[in-house]
Amino acid sequence: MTSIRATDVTVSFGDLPAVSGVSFAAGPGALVGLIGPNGAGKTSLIRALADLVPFGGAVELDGRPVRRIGRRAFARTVAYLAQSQPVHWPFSVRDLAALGRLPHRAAFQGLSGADQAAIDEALALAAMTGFASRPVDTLSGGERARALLARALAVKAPVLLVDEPIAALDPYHQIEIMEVLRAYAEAGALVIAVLHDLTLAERFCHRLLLLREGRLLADGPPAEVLVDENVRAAYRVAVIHHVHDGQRVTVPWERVGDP
Amino acid sequence: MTPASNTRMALVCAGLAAAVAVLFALSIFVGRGGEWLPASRDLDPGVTEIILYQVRLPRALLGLMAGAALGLCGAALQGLLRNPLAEPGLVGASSGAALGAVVVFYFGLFGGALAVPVGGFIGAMAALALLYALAGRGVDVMTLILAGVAVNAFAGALTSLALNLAPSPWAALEIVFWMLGSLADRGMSHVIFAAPLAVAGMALVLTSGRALDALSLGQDTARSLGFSPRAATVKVILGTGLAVGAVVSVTGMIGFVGLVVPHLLRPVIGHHPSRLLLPSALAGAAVLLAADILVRVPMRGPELKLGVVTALIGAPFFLHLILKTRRSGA
Repeated sequence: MTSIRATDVTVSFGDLPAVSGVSFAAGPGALVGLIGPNGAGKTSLIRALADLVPFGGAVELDGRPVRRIGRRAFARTVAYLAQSQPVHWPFSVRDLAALGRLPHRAAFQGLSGADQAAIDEALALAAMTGFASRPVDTLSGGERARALLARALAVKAPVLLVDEPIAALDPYHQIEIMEVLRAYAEAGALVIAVLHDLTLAERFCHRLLLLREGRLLADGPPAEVLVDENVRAAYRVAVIHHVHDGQRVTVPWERVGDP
Repeated sequence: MTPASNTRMALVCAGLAAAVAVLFALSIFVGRGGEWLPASRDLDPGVTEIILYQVRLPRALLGLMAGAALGLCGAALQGLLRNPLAEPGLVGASSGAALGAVVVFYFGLFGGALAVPVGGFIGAMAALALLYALAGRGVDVMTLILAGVAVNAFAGALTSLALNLAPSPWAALEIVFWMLGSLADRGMSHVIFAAPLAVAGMALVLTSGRALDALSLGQDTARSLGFSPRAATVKVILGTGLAVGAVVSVTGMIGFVGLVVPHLLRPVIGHHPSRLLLPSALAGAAVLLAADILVRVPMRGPELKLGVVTALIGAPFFLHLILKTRRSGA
């Protein structure tokens, strides 16, 4: 059970600001969607939360600044799944997932019973148990995405940061991954996911953070964030809303002129 | 990493260790033309003892050490650079060592038996310093590879220059023969010189195993798993420089062992860089000891140079590897 608090977070590349003064706090049990158009600073923000880029401002876990947390302890608390994650050797799916246990193991120490259990659990959660012995380079795109997610889940971190986990997947696999992320959050973790699909973001996330030009434009439940005015301002796109089974569905519909 | 694969790993290591032990013993007892030393000739026991302890033992120890260093460092560099074609020579320590040794030959700085190894090791360290200056503090894989190529090219050019300007054909010949790589005619002082450096370098490399596993998912993910890519890079490059620099300073250039050995092992124990390190050291030692026994077998003609034999066997394998990689990539 870990909460994260970002205060006035700023990320710059040279003189170019990618994220400017973003503040928010989020606690366990939530799937938070980080949305916004290309170049809005989503990846930079999530990398700052993962302490992978130099940033200004503060990021705290349960009130402790991330830079004061030891590298190993931080790695056990915050799992990160990169966008288009490379896998440089053709590991089996199980061996790939086992890499998620590295922060829990001392040097020259093999996998403990707890490690094996965490790997089994992660593979089951990502529906990859049947693929455990398959080499990663023989998987389809959807299977590969689930295998990579299993690696991140195997860390069993209370905070999971994922960058575009459903990009380049077909609808079936997109929904499948979103279900896994939501289930992991509802089991008590905080999951923050960079997403481009507004419809799925609204359907699965408990909360959305909408970024535009490095600033937080809106923050709240999906129904409040994905209003026509916000989506137009951020994406220059008009949306249509529909209600299905009592839940609102938002679909990006047409381009509009510059706001 | 199932219990079954752990058992397999243990079996492979035990098998390799046994092979190394047998080859080490053979290296001591087998001589020119394959004759067995203690039995086959009616030598004075004192002479036999000198041959065994002052000629064969250092030779076997150097084979063990050089093979282990090359195999281990090859596996570690392939893991660090995430590139199956990486080999210990890539960091420039070998060509730097060759240059250092050549300088000693060229200027006739024969201040004792260790002049060449000391010169070689200084050359290896100079090459590492140049690599560091070129690649900078960054850990970008491509920059490191390109810097390594530049260092190798520069050291190679200076070595050629020394050959070109060699004071006599004999000096040039001596340089060329040394560079071909050999374990023959080395004494216990060579072993004592190289061993501490090689052991320290190998220990440094061995501690990088888990970081290399994490790096197989790229630098960001390695960092998110709690490892510093920069620390891993320093450990592997510095460790390789020390270990390979030390052994090459004594043996001359021995190619392809570091490149080939990890590939021989991957089908058996998988692709984890950490799991390849120890078996690669053992297999490297086995391969080099075997090759060094092989060079003694021909009865007539000059003894084959070890580096020539490893290259003769290694180059076709390298070609096979490239073709296989291209086929699977296509």
